[in-house]
Amino acid sequence: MAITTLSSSVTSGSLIERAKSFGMDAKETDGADVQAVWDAAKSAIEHARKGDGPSYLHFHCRRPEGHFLGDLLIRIVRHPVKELKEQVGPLLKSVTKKKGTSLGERTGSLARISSVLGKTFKSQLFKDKDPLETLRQKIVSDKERLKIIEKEVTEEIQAVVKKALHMNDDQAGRNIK
Amino acid sequence: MKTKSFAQSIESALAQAMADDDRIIIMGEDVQMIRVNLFSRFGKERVLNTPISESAFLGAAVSAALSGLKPIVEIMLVDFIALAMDAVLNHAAKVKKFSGGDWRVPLVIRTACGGGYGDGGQHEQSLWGWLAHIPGLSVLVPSTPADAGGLMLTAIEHEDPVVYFEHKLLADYWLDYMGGNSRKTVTFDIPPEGAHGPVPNEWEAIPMGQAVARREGKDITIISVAVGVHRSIEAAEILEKKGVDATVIDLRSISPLDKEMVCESVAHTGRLIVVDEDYKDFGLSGEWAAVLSEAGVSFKFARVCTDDTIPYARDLEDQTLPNTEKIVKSALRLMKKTDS
Repeated sequence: MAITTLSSSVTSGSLIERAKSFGMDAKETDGADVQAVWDAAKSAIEHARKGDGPSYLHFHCRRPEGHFLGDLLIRIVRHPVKELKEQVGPLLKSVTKKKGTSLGERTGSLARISSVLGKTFKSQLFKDKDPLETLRQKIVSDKERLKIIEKEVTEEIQAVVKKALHMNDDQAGRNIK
Repeated sequence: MKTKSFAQSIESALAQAMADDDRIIIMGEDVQMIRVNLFSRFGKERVLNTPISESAFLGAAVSAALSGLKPIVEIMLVDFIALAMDAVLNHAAKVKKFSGGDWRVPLVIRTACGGGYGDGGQHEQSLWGWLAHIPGLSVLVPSTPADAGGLMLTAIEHEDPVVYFEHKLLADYWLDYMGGNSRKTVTFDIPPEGAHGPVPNEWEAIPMGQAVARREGKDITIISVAVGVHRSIEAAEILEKKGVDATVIDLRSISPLDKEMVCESVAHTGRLIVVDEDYKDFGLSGEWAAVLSEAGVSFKFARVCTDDTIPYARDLEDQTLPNTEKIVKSALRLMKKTDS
């Protein structure tokens, strides 16, 4: 699929059914659930190591940001008044121009545009699909373990930032002439 | 005279052409949203979303062209045309010759190119020289809003395949998509006269292969396309203050080349600088050295091109791409003058 082209509109059948047609085990899993991804991968690896062949794992993941840093759809959803102000004028001017397709087709185009915006808006609402938040919620009862993991992750990130900030021009490759 | 942005000019020319000829269709990834104004007016039968599969949809566009349509197929960034090269190289470009002219492929490949906004070497290439190398393809590269619209009509009216380039520093919506102002550490050097400017009331096709002199001078000829034209004009203004009088020629078309205009100019000035954002080796700049030598023109030669893979970091990127300073230095060297 592309950014606004749904897999269902450009592929025939489901990916799972296609994988099964090769005789593979095929499974769909929530890609935002780290534990579920771990379990599915573990089972697939064991399956392969037993000599039972490959498996197909289909993880559903949400993109927290746009494909591009300035993705227009995300911008419209986050700042609708500001962004739509620039888009609506030319759109209305174009859709009412004389030469073009039928009124029905034009209405269909507008409906499609609204639908894409609606889907983007909906996807932005589901912040609970953030993999980190999902994992935190799952292990919140084991506070000690959560604390250790958070500490390890923070230290790892800080070490990388520190290294990057202390990198000199030679190490960063900035002495190229 | 009206004024428009570079991107508005392309869209306006497309709308005019699509209203006049219902064989014209647009195909590409997300085009129903990227070309939302055209989609709302011409509908889903003429503005077709495709999956991310350049080889599949460019191949389909070649077949559509052979079947009587006039497809404008969008390869989002020219870097990704590599995925579809079989359809371009072995089919679109060959059908006319292989059929003795009985079959034509009236296909436009519209594609964004160029760097200067920090997006790395696999998103910022120009590759027009690579494509112009193939017989059977025409390659157009506008540098102003007026040429962006006019050359789009040229491409559409042509009966054989045309690759139409739009530089991302000139087409404002591309920079918006790529992060625009949200990338606080990245700055862009956008040539204002390339991004916005006067346009005709009604679009007319510009004859293919016709360059235009943006500035006349007697000492040195500088030739370029796209953003390079604006960098060259800026360099010529600096050179004027240093006593060097430069001609700047905007090629507009890389295949075919306006050999007559350039040969005439270089025969007059005796010096040529090719400013090319595409790669230096085996490309447009070397081609000009050959064309002028074959024409028996005596001249001094220099080139300001992209020498290597374009780095992601903006400061390193600036060192790699052609810029005004490099053009000035190169010109002074040819004139045997020191930079003071």
